[in-house]
Amino acid sequence: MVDSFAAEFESFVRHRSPALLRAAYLLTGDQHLAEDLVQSALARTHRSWRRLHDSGNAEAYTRKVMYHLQVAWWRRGKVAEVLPGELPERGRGGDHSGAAALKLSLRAALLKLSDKQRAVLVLRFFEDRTEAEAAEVLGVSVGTVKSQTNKALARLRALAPELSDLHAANGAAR
Amino acid sequence: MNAPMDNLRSGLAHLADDVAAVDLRDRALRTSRRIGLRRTALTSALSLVLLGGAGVTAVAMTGGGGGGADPATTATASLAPPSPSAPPARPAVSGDYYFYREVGATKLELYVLRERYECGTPEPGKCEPDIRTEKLRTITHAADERCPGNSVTVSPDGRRVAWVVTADDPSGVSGDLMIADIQGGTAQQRGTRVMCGGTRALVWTPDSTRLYVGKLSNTATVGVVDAATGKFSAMEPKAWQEAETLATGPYQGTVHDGRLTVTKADGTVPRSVAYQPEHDTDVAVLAVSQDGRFASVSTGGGDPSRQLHVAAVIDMATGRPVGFPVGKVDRVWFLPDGSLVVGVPGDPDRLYRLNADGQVAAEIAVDRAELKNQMLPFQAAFG
Repeated sequence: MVDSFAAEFESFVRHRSPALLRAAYLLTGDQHLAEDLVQSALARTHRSWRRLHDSGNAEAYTRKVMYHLQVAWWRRGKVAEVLPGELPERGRGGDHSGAAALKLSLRAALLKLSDKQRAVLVLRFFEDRTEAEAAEVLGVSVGTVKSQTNKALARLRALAPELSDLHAANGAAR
Repeated sequence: MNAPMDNLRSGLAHLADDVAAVDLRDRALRTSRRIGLRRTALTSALSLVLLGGAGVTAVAMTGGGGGGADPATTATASLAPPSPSAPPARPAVSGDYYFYREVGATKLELYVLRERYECGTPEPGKCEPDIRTEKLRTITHAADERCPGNSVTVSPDGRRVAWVVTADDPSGVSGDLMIADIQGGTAQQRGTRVMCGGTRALVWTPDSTRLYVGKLSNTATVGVVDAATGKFSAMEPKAWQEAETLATGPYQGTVHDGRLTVTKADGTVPRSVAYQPEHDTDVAVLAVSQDGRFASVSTGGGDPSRQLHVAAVIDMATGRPVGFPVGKVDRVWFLPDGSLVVGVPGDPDRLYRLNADGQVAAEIAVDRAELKNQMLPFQAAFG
């Protein structure tokens, strides 16, 4: 049975890590910090694997832990200090320079948002969660998600006007 | 027409493509185990409180305090592994640490300390290290030469050793390149006017057939020397720097104008953080971890010597110095799996293996009387 649990956890990590890393990268803006975040969330999932295996909620649990850890890390100031170098381009050989510039602007603007603002944007517009789902993950009210989303979008417009076509209108609540 | 926010969605998805996929299984299991051990230690400490053992409790709690790294491992290593399963056996690890000892004014004796584990991997409380030190060859040189000690370098296959002896350079910064079998025998001269200063004067190619060197001539020349024939082939400085860096790892680092910068060997993917050396002295980046995340920076680098100590290990993701459970470190070797071997100041007779989480996995004690209270190893190779 123990071997079976271990194999299932290994399979879970192998299949879900790439998606978790993508969200973590948007939350942290940094490859290494994203790895640390997912690693920590997976470790906690591993600690609770027997229970999660029975309930079938492993991924939801891992994502929730990831977001909560990220907020905690922000509070401790664990944020990449200065990363002025060019971003590594991986497998984006077809990138046009304009798209690449927009990507850099978006990354820089995201890093200037507050912790919760960045988290609600990633949940709402990357993970495509409803306001209610985002509220549940973050452990806040739906009203907080709405207000943080509006503030985040307004701040994005102020920080990076060149991204205007990325957020032509505020997202309608689902 | 796009739905509202579709462009933001695609922008975020595009940005997320920049993250590289990595295998986090082992790292997650290690962290899980550490959490389990810490919880067990805390539970034990709380039990002692309930039993009224206040004095003992203070000792038990020490394992969970202080520093950036979590030092709970050694206190709880004999506890049962956490559920649902123990991590699988890791591949065998080994280390060869090369020392030299100055004998009088004209000799260097080479030694190797071989570190092996009976169970294949260092686990506190479980696997006993097998430490054996072996004397290798003796290098003879003119009286009070500094070049041999600063340049002596063992080939990656462990079979040959190269060094520089000052010949006709009165400044003592260059000389004849000598190469010999590491077990003994006559050394062969394989080059002239080869420079011997700096933190790494001679760098072997990974296949142990050639050496990257700099030559002192009317114009600075860099290139590669064939170890068998001594044939020197000059290289463009940029190509040489990239190749020489790649022979030691995929990343390089510099400290300049208050910034520590790490790049890939070809100069791409720069990552820079603020770094102010103590006393504003010139410093050198001694090593960069295989993933580019950590860089060890030397103490003052004004002396063109390899015997520079580590002033700090910097986390390039946060710009902050890394704390170690063994305290300040003096020498650092980064291993490909994220683990490290470190030496600490004031204790040249002991090295520590740290796992990727910074925990002490093993202690490596120098077992040979001749090497006691000598310098830390000048080179290490890991299997």
